[in-house]
Amino acid sequence: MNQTEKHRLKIGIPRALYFYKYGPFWTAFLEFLNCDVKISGPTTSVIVEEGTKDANSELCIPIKIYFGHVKNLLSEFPDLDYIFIPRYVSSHKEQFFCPKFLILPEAVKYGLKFDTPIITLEINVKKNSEHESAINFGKILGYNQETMIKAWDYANQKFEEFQDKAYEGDYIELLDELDTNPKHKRKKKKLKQFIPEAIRGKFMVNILVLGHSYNVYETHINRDLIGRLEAMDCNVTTIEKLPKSEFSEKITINEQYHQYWQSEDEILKTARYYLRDGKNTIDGVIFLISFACGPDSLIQEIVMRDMKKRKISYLDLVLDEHSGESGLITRIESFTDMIRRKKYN
Amino acid sequence: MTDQIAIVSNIEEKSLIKKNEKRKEKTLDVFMGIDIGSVSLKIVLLDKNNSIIEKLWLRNQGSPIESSKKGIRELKEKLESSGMFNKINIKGVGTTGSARYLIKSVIGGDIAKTEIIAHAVASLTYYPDVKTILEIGGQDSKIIILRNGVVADFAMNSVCAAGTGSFLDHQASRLGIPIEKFGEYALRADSDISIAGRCGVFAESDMIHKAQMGYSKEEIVKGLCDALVRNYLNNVGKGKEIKPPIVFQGGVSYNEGLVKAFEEALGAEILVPEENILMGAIGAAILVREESERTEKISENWKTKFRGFNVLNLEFETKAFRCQGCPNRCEVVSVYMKTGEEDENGKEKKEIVARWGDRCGKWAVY
Amino acid sequence: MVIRVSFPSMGWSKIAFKGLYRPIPGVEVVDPPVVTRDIVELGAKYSPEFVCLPFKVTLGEFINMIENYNCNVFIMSIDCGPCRLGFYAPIQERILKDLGYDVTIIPIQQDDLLDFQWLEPFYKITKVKGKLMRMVDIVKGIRFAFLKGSFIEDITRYEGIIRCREINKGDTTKTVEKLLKILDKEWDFQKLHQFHKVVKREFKKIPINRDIEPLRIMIAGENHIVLEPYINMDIVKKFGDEGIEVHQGNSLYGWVMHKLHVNFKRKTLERIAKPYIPMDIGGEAIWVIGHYIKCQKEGFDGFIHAYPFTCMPEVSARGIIEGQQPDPFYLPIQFYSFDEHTGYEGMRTRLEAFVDLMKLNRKNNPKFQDNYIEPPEIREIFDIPEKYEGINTFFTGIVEPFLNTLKILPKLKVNKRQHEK
Repeated sequence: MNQTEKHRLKIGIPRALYFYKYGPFWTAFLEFLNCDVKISGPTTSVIVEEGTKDANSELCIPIKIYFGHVKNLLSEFPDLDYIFIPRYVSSHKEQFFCPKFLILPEAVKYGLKFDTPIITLEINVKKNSEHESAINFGKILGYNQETMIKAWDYANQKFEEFQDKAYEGDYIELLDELDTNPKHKRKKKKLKQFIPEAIRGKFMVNILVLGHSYNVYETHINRDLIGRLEAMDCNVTTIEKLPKSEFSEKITINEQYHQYWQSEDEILKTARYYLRDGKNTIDGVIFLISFACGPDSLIQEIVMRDMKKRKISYLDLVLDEHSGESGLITRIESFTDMIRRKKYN
Repeated sequence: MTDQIAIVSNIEEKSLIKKNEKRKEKTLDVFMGIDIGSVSLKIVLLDKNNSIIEKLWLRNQGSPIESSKKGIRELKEKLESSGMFNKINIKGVGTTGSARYLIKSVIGGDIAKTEIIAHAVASLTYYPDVKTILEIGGQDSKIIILRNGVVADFAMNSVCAAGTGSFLDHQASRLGIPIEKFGEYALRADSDISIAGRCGVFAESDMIHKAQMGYSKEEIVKGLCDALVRNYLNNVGKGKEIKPPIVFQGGVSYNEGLVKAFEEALGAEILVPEENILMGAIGAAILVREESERTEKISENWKTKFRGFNVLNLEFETKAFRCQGCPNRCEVVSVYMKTGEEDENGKEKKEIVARWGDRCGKWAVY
Repeated sequence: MVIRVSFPSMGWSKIAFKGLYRPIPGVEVVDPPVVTRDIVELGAKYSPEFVCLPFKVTLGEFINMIENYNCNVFIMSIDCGPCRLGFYAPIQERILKDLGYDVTIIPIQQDDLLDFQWLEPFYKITKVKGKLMRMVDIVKGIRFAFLKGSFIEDITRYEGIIRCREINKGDTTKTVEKLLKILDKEWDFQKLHQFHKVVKREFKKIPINRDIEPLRIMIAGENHIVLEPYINMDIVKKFGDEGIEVHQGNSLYGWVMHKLHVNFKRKTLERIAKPYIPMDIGGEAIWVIGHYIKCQKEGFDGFIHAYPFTCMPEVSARGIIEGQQPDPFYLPIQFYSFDEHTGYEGMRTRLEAFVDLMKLNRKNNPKFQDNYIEPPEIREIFDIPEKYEGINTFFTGIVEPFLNTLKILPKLKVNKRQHEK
């Protein structure tokens, strides 16, 4: 279907997986092309349930949530022209994304049955340059090369602006701002203050939260981990708060192997930064892992062993659709208490 | 906690304080620790020097609120019969265990701490150089690694209940052995059999299979102990550096068979404290003492929120409803306290003590 | 220090691996022991909890070989594709080092065998100088590996087809074991080149019932799982004993050939599966779908997909197959995901139920009737008389002695130098 002046294409984006990272890029890109962008609402229990119903039980929870969001989009906006499902293969010559991202459009297309066509932006720098993939995308919508290159550059610029803003501001709020739908507005959560008034703010601990953006900022599935940590008098740092210059170097494991997963690369680099330069600025590390996540299951082992060597407290939290809230709270409470006792006694 | 409740409890406390003032010179400052787990309730009273004034163990019956009230009642009776009731002044209440927040709001606790910290602190007072704590309770199991008297690392069982007290309980009843004798049976076994112990369901089917193959009860019990230990070390204790001295606590540590299985697996002596099941409560009491001392140091003002033994006369009721605010449809549970007063319409006034279960924080009252 | 080299066994494939490394001078190649429950448990104990089973198994094998066989160098193939396999070596090395073992894991980069990065390990293990001599040894090793690999493939292929027809239960198993034992000990090229005759001769001895039309299934999935009989509970044998003709989608030889870009069977499968999986996403995902579609076309009765629990590519493939059932994918499929806790009891129930389902399909569903074709292997073994093959004698008769003379050259040089000193 081509974009015409009369008909503005309605394109839906599921608010899951890399929306939490590249969302600002996608929306800017599609808006430059004069598309009407619809984003699915924040994750709810219903979405998780719907997703789990149709996805294979051995898939990781973020993919299941993605399925749920696609279904949610279809029911909320039945008149969508396309569903936007990107295919991230690699964005650096030597790196890959997780296999599940490689066939995400097919997984959704064949895993769920629906009629709305899927539109795919394929990012594969092993085969095409970034502009080429934009041009390929434009062919579907009927745009010429020039417009597509412009759209790409515009989106890139917007994306960088977003990252700069996120460096200082609240990442989750900034992401929510992308969605102008008033129905999807979220109120700031009121969280229980764990620390008695008398000593609040006096015994602060610094925590680094590692993990994929779609685990760290997906407040439904991680039960608002960052908010809770802040309610426990913690200063929380995430990957996004690290200076960009830290991500330029190539990373090796055991000095002879190179690391080839894109998002694990960022996690490892952050972990290494805090092992090296930022060692004294953090007291503990929490690694958010989704159950059945392949890359994390291995990278977690390296991070854990490194942290142990440097005697930095480390906790891994495994997320799945069954995990209860109380277990998670007990773990983070014990963890912060443990650090606090170590630090101040 | 809402202001109103603070006022209510203040009134109660004032009356208590008045009574207490008269005999202040003779009173002994004590700290109460309550450990409310999934299976049982433990209460201890500790004095300043960590010696136990009174202790109590109860199997949970009904809701945690009922059990805790029952616990307090029994504690009161015990204190009265020993003549201590008028001689003590409860200076702080600490709660721990899975229902710690609920009980904290019901009883009027000062702090609620996780079992991990409570167990670690308690262990450290009895064994100052402890390096590893194995804790297996009714529904969960934990490992705590300590170095130089500080908690360095910990882990909890993630999903499965195989390897906890409830599982053993269940298997014991299936085999027709009283749980108290479980350890005895295991010690009597003379050969090893291997039972798959990853998951409760598999362990059970494997156990039945082994029984059908004609193994004796003793051997099966020992096999279960070994499987449980293996499962514990492979899951909870995975990647943890288990160094002696090792302390084993929690309800399951009564089981000598397990203690022996742990000793065999770890190749080190396992210490089981005398008060093995009370350790959580002891830890909570110590923690509240520390907290009171710290607060006194900073603000010189420490007053317990404990409602006093009056809590027995208060009535609580819980109500649950489904919030319709968003598609999450959270089940919100609220606990009301009947104040005994009436409002203008002649209806009974209820104070909300605690409310939880919502994801967004719209309803939460703690 | 004596270099004792070993590698993960991966079922019978160890015979081919051994062939590859044995001719290298200066090293002792240790035959990896058969995987047992103890080895798997050992591996699981030290592995990350949620990692896939092959990682745990190979780690267990390494620890076992260090402890009991004094091995200090391991060769592990890695593949920096998108799946976890590429990370096995660094993390296993880290775990072993943290356990206090002084060992080296040498990765074989099998991304694309035509870039010859996989030759690196050979230079790393040997300390003998003089490249020419090493090349000769390497060529020899590769020849052993290829020949033995191809015969392993033949034997396992025949095994699945003959077992369901055997008249005396257990004949096939005995024959297979005997043949593999001979193959393992055979280090003479001349005899190896004629080994396919031995294979056929041995299988011909098994009395079979040629008139039956057994149910046909294909077993495919992740290489390590499908090729390691302890891990997959000897699924090929189990189905064979139920009277089912088993075709195997995986073989080491086929995999290596694919990596050399000459496995055209796999290329066709890729083409078939393209609409469902447009690119290689690691594991066997794309070929599993290819096999599945092909089997459905060829009128198979069932399909078995075996893979390690939570394997990323295979689970993705499973999702696609499941989503397309029953239309257009109507071929019955059973998924077996293995981890260290998988017990035989649970599997047997599912296996028997699946066999019953296929039998019912044969009886009632016209889609599964009258499309049985006798596999060409039967004719190959029982009907075609032995032929004399001349082409191989060229290699064994002329090229071999020539290479052997080259092998002497560096030795002479060394001697000369010693003389001068």
